[in-house]
Amino acid sequence: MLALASVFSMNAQIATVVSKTPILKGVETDMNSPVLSPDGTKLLFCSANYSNLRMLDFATGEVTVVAKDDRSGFDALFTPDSREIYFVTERDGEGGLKMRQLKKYNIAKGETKALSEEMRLVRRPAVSDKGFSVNTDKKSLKKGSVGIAVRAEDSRLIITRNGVDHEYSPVEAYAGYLWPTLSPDRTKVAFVAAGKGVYVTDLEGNILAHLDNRRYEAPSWYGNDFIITQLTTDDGHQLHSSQLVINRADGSASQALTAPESMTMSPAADIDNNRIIYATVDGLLYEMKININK
Amino acid sequence: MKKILLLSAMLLSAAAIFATNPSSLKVYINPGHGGYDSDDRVITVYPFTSGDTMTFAESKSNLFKGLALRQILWDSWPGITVNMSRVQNRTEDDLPLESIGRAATNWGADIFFSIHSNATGTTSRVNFPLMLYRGWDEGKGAAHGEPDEAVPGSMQIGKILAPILMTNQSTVWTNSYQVRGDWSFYTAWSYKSGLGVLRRLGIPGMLSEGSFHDYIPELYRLLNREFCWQEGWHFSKAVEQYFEVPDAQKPQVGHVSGLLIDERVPRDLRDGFKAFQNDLLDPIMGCTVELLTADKSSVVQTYVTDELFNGFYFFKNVAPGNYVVKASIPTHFDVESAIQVKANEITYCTMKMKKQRLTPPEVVSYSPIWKEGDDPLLCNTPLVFNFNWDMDQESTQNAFSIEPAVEGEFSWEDFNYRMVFRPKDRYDVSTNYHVTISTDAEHAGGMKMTAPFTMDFFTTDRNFMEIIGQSIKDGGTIHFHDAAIEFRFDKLPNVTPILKQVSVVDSHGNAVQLNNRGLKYSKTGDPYGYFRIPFVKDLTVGEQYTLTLSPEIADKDGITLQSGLSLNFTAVDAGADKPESQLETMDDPVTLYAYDEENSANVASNKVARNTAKKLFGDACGVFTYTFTGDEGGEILWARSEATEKGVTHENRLGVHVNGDLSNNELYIQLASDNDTKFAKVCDLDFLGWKYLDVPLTMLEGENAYKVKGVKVIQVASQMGKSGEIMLDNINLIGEDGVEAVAADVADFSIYPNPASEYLIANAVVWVEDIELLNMNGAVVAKAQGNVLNVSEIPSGAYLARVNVAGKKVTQKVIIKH
Repeated sequence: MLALASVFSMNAQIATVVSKTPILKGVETDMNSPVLSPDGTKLLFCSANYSNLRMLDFATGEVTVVAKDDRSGFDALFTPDSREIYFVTERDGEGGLKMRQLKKYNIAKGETKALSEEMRLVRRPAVSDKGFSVNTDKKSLKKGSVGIAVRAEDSRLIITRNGVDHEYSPVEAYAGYLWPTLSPDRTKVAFVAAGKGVYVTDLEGNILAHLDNRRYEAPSWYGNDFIITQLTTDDGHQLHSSQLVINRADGSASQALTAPESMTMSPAADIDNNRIIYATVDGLLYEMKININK
Repeated sequence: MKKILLLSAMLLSAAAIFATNPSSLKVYINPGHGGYDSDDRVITVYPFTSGDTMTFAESKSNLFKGLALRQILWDSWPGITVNMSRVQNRTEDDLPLESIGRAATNWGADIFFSIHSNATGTTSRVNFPLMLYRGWDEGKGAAHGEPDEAVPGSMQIGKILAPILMTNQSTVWTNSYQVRGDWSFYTAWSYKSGLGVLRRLGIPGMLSEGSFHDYIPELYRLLNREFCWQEGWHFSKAVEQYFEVPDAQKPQVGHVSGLLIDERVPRDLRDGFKAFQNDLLDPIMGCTVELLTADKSSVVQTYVTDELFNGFYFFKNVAPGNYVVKASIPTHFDVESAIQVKANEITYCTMKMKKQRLTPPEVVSYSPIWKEGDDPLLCNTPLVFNFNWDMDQESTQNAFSIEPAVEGEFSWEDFNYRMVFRPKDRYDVSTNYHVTISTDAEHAGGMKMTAPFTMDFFTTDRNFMEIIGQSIKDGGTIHFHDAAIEFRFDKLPNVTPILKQVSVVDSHGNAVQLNNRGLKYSKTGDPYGYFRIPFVKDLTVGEQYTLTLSPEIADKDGITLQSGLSLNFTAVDAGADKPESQLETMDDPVTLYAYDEENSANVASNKVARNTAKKLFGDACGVFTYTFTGDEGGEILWARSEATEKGVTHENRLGVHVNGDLSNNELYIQLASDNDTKFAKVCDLDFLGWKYLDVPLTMLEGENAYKVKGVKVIQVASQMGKSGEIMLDNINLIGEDGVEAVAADVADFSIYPNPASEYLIANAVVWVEDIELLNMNGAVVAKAQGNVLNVSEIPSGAYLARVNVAGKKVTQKVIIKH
């Protein structure tokens, strides 16, 4: 902890925290894994076990249950136009084997539509306003066109450009790549190489930067030049601390936004509204307002 | 109808095949911890040293188990998909916990195992499996309006795995298994934090603490990779049960597991680690274990037990059938056991091995070694016998005899190679003892001694530590101020435990605090042993106390007192105001008293001094210090330069305030008339602290007036009498009755009844403030506020009642009579 503190103190202050405000306090519980819609008007969140995918409309304050299914909140994602939500559900099949299915939720209509049959494995899809593609244990499913998208499957980074999947393995990571995310300008990708920290690549898988803290998780772009990460410590059993850190996307500087003992995690950043939505270990959501220092 | 039945049969068949086909399973394995980092759990045990990665690290044994499980699953069901969070043990393999759960969920696992071992975090030692799933303890979720488990199936996995782990007979379990919800088990970080690796896991899974690695015998087993493999196999059994794998698809080979331990040699519990059951016996290391065909015609597998203090062996992948397990090592007799191996089971076969002891036992050394003419032995000397073999305790103790008979206790050391006999109390003094160990003594292999062993010794004339002086005597008094406990012994006491061996309580049983930091004690070279412990506070005048001395107080050779002591004593004020007139104040002793060499003998040194700190009255008291040249025959006189003003006769008495030196010497006051000199014995100096002593003067002759002329100490032969230091304060003149009454000058004053037996009552027309009862030495023996004094516990005799009334003190002689 002292080492972390000293690293942060060596850097000039990147941002100033303006405020922290609870979201849906006393209204909802067990709120985790927040995901902001690209237009910033909606927020997805789910239970800690990834079931019970819910959506908050910031304009009305209304919370809609998108899906109660198992896994529905694991890597749920909005289409770029913020009109639809893609997610994968899961249920126990015969003999306890998991069966998964890709679904789409139309926000305006409040309708859910199955996009695949139930299969043993349905990966995270690549989505656009006009279609999707997804890998399964049987075959790849595609509908419409997907422009630029990013996914991670085990130790493969799959970057879709012009509807074509390109696989990269820019860094060795036995346990795989996690939390892949596309920058708002859709020119860079950030992901976690398990146990090695966050890497930033271009759309051709070339490494541009390494946010060199092997315990960084859950990167979220704050504009195109900053990445918010979750930094936890543990004793191999329980979490000892969890905090949010803002990093320059080139890896040149970082700054803690919350204290280690705050147990803050799962950032969803939105530079247009100067905010970061995040969760705490006890399943509460907060909105943090920040200003980037000039 | 036939079509429908056929369709139903097909559907059922399809469902059964799909539901139970283990080759379609996806299993995610997380070997807990990693990288020997700060969050790893490393325990350095013999023979390893700190920093040696060969010692136990939980990250390592967890990885061994995980890799074994993966291989077992791959071998059992080709096509099964197994993923692991790590396959190495580097820092980068120690993943953040959420990453692990996320990787497993993202990969689409059907089941998740986090493999760990446990530690109590306390000094207690246990060994049992603990299964943790995400959620509340079974049945506790309802209280929170929630299901017990966060992800259905997780509790069930734990319930299946725990009893399977408990089937391991090549370990020692101390308790039954537990299956717990992590929200109930862990309460840190508030509500539902639980285990980090399960917190964001979206699939059925649990964390297994398979056994306790701080149970050191288990730790040594966990250093064995095959033992870890065995635990991995238990996980595969849980997969079978959870997914209801049909028998036809279960592995068709079995395994053999066991421990090899000595049948009676105790395990070396280095640093005192705890062990239970079979773990208390010595594990056999470097032992060749063979799995033989039932007719022993051929060797199927061979295993050599490792050098890591576990005695564990294992035969993998054995075809079902009958076999013989044979263990061989040169130090022990071979052992064999017939076993039956069944498919998909572990056959346990723990064998105890008998050490080869091929020569008869004998005493190879002993102590004490004593021969005629040597110094006698202390009366508590233990008898130590070292044998060439580990001995059978019962037969050896029965073969031991000592004449004259002495009750004693045996103890065994060095894994039964050494027997020690200690007398329960002590040997008799100045006695010849003859010790025999007969040929009935056997070593652990059952062979007897071929010749008896004998030894002799002679004891000293002392078998108890003797108290030669004490500041507090049973029924005695002690001056309340600056009081201390001092005991003197014939030998130097062992003062290390002394503060726990002395205690004082008041009459209500409350402990009286002793000034432990003020402890003083004798040093080597002192003529006698002693310890002195002051009281922290002044004692309460009139209060009765009880001093307890432990019988375990011993000298430096361990010779104890013959028994403990319990002494009652009363605190008094030796310096209380007295009604008598004063003959001597001792305010100026240096001027008035001088060493009288002519009337002294065998004096090495002396000194007269004035002390204002320890005085009882006036300005000062006199301090008289002396050292005689030898142990007896000394006497010293300090003569007064001029006689006191007042004279005394044989009808008077002297009241002398003396601070004793516990020398046992005698103190006298020199009295001289115009034509005669007498010495009135004041006391034996067998006390410490101030006392007021009533000295009769019946030795004075006729009606002559004698005056105080000097102070004399006569040496009494003892260890303590060679030197000393006494103090003297006021020397009073007491009338013929010992204490003179002060007449009442208060209206209607009376004290009654007189004699009294229950209460003494003082009456006057004015307020009576308090009443005190003094003995004839002037010491206060009872006191009460008001005008009534309970005298029911006061011994019969003559006393002086002193009453504080109307600002005056009225003193009157009273008789207490029961």
